[in-house]
Amino acid sequence: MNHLDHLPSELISVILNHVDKTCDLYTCALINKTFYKHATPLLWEHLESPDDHTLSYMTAGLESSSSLRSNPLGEFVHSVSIRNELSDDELLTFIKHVPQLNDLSLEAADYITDDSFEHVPLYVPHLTRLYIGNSSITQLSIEAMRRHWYRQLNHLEFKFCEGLNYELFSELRQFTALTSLAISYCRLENNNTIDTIQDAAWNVMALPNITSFRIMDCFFNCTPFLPITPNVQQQQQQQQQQQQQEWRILPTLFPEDYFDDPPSTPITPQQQPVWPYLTHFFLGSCRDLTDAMALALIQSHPHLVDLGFYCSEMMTDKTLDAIATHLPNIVNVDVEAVTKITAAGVRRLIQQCPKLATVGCNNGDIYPSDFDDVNPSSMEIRHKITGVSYVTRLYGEAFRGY
Amino acid sequence: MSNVRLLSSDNEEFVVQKEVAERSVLIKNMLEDVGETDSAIPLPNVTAKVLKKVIEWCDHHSSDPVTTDETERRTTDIDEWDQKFMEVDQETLFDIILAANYLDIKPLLDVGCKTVANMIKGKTAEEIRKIFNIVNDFTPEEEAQIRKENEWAEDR
Repeated sequence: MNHLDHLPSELISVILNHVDKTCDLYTCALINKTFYKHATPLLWEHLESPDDHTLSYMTAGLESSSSLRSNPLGEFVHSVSIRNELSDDELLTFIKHVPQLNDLSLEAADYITDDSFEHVPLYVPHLTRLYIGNSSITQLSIEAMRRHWYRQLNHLEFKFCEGLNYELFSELRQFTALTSLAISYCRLENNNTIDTIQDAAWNVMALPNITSFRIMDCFFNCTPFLPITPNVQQQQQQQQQQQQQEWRILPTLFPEDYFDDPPSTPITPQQQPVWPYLTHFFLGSCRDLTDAMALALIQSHPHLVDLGFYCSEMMTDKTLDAIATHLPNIVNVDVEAVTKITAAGVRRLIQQCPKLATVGCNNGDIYPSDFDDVNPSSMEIRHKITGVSYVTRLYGEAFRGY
Repeated sequence: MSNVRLLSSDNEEFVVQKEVAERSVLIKNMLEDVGETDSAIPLPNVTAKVLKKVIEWCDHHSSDPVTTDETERRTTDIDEWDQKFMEVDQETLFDIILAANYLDIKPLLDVGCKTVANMIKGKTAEEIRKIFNIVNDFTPEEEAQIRKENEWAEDR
């Protein structure tokens, strides 16, 4: 008779792959030696620690097996997500046992400093993904990361890392495998003399394989990070200056608010994409970003599916129209706090983009009454203190079959 | 619609629609290699009893779209018809799994393995041993060591 533990070992693995709860895999490891052999790698492959209790038990298990066996448990560990706070010592003790680690996420790294992190790349040389939040690591750690990981790190995210400064970007330039880079809530104080935001941006734009880039809430103007080639940017700046001068000369023939909405001249020369594979892009705090600059990005990066601009005072519905014209595969658009976007612009965008799932349009000036033909379940609404409601998000289905 | 003849290990012949038989990647590849043929395809690893079950499954699922998405394949939901289909004794269940593996019918293999996985879930090690008639080959020391090393996973 066929017996469960006599099945070919690859089939036991297939069965255990369908056992998704950790405690059930733990039980399987205790059935017998065959099951132990197949359940243990699955049990340790992806570790998640929600509290310091769990982390200390994991560390104890790793330490105990490493002293007993030639093939310790830590060899199975490929991804680790630690959501609890931990000390430098705890991180180092843990990380020493997981040399095959690919993916490390430290959500609450409040007590992680260079003292430990500077050594982390040495212990986990194969890392390809890193997320670190709330840490006070500095350039020292970034340099260590570059020494060990510059060839293979492809996903990198910093959040609330206030010890970093603009020098970060000259190191990042050397991480040529990076495909996804996200920086948020990092002040990036400029302690040195030569680096400017623009230099930082050039460094990032030199990365050849970026598919996803997000920079937001970093307390500085992020517009220089728009990946368009220098001549276009300069051209744009010159045009702007020229236009502004011309308007100053013009007599007051135009209504006052005309000057808030300068006619943007489209940029004529078709430019090469800075990031040919770019699909996700988010720029937070880009006050001086214009429609023409956004158009230059949109025209040169046709693979974009997710695009967001936060807090631009210049951008208008023209950018939304450009998205509809040039990005047929767009799925998500965010234009939060972009003051000049109107309900009509959002409506045109959704009607023209068949794959569009959501538009974040929270600028406090788009009202439910603008969309009274739309099912209320297709929009998110918030209320001002005054009691007035406004629309923060519309879902693509709002106008399907419209 | 052309038919295909399949020969079980115990020499029983089954005539099956080509489209149904081609749920098996093994048979599909064989037919592509051989071309039009009148002779029966021998399946020396599958008995008539099991082959009959497998054909029943393939017939019911002959028009399913092919799923290559790993995450979709991994979900442990089994549709109602498949659940009924898998209500068989353990020996037949493992025979179906082995046959699906040999014939390279991934969705059937997944249904079989999910059925076994569902029998494991929520049980203790001792209960699982009893259900599947498995002998505990750990020494008490080994078992204690495994419990200690994996303690973090016990109630997660």
